[in-house]
Amino acid sequence: MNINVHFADYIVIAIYFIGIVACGLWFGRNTKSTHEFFFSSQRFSWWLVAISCVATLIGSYSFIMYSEIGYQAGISSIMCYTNDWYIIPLFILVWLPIIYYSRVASIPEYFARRFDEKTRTAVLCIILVYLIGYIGQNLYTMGVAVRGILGVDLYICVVVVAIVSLLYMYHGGQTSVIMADFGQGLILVGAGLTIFVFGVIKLGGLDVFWNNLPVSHKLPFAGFNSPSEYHTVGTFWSDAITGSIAFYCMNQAMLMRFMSAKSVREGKKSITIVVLLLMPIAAIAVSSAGWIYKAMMPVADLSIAKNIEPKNIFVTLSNFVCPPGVFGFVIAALIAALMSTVDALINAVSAVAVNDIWRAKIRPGKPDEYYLKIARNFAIVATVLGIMLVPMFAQFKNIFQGFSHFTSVVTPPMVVVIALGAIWKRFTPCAAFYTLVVGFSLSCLSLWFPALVRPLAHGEQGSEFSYMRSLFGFVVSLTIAVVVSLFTKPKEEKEISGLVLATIPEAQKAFKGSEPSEEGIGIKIQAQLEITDMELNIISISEEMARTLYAKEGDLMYVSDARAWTGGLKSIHVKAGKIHNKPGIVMMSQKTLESGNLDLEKPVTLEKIM
Amino acid sequence: MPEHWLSFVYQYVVGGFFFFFIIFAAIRTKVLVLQSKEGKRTFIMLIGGFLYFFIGHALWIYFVTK
Repeated sequence: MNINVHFADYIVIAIYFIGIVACGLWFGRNTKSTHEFFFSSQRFSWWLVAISCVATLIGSYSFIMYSEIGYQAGISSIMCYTNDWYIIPLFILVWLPIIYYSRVASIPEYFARRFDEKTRTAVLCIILVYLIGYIGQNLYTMGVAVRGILGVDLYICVVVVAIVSLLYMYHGGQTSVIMADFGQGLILVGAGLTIFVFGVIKLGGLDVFWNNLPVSHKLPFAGFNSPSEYHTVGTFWSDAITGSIAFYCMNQAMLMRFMSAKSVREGKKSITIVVLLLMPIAAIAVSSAGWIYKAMMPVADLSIAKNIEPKNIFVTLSNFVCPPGVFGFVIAALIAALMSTVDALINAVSAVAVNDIWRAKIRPGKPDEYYLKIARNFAIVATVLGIMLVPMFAQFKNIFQGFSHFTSVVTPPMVVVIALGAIWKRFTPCAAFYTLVVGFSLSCLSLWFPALVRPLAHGEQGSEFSYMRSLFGFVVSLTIAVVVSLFTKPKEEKEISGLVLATIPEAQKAFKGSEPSEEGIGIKIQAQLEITDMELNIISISEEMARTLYAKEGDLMYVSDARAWTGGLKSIHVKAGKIHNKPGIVMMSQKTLESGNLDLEKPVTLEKIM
Repeated sequence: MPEHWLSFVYQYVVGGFFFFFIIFAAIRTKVLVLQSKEGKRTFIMLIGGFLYFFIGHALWIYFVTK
């Protein structure tokens, strides 16, 4: 690859690093509890959660991989980003209300409460290997890409980027992650779309771009079952079904992101915008370099390499079409794609380690400040382990490949256990454990004996069936889950209250502490604050407010800065206390005001959450 | 059936099964109550999203291949 990097590009990269670290440190400066460190005190608006979620979703490999697919398969490279809607009912109607209302802090904790400690331990091991391996994988792929562009040593690059991610995450936890990822999400999508625009201009217009693509490259779906590297049926099972459920329901980082929303309603709004609007835009951003390159091939005037290695397309094309400075912005986006994934993963490892190991098994019953300190220490440990994996991935390609195989065989049984556990009351702890262990073992076996997958391969002509292995694992795990459940004893209904679909109303009731009511939800009113001597996290509202919001004593309320762009940074969840008769005034204690970072002089927005 | 339409039909039939099965289960367990304002809103949003992708993909294939 012959890449020209100008001084202006280095300046842009430096500005990006300084900006992101400053943003993460500034917004995370008020983090004082584990609830804030892991869940940002559940205060954020849908748009902050949505954009930061897209940044976490786009990994360092995304631009390279989807540009390659875009070049080889065409616009169908967007399939993976536009096929999530099938599992959205599972997330919106089942998973999100369960984890939010039951206050589940980690995926292994859900398994402990829904099934038993044995299943929790199995899941804990899987999740930790998955998360730490994923940190190493992202660091490695980003390091290789940046080394190819800037000529910087792989390890220097990895260590610098990992330390920068850790720096702001360590300081502010989830709040820093969300705010930094919000910025990085805009950079990522902005850079991807910039390449598309500059590419189209270079080509001579949209019509030239479109007309230069072969018909097969213009379709939204790839071939049904061929070529074996990328086809619709394989993508459907490995990505749309198992991949999407795994991403939204099994990924601890995603659980924490949606737990940071101010309400379940706000979380639903976030995921809807992510899947309907942001993911299709992100799909264009990550794969358009491949489409543009393909469209440039027949143009004789453009001096582009005709026999390029597909994995180099993203960097080569960006360097070709972008002027100096703008190319630096693209490199920054590549690094942003890594940092926005890695910061969330580090925070996720820390949450799992504190909640499921330290607090649950090693040192229970300590004050929250102690666990916050431990959480920060685990963040360092997770980063160091991720960095240590990089030389292993670099030297032993079979370890790198082995990790990819691990995720492909462990995902289907996990997905089946999560989905059935959340939907089916009759699903037993014993069945969950055996689904994980036997489902994983049989999926592993299919790596050595791919012929096992053939009956479910939908006529795919390959010999590895790497895509169709997901369907095999899914069917095998589902069969084990159902059969073992029918012969073993399920948990008592009261033990799984709030953890299964049919019991979500019970979780809502427990969350609120009384019978929830829907009246007044969604109505917002502006008010002025007044300090008075009251209990922490209790407010007093006026009669007129109570009437408008249909609020009564004991209702869960949300007070936020009236400036919508603050996105919930200055806000607090409180309970409605006694009703007073001073119109337009919300009374609260000084401590409550400080806890929500609210300004006494500034107007606030008041709404009823439940 | 041409391959591009086969891909489309497979995805929406099998994916649709998962999609509508969960909605059906939620209605049956009264977690999704269509008589309530919030339930109706969620239901319309889900179906609307499904149709948005379904119609979008169908029109796309039609115009590229006509």
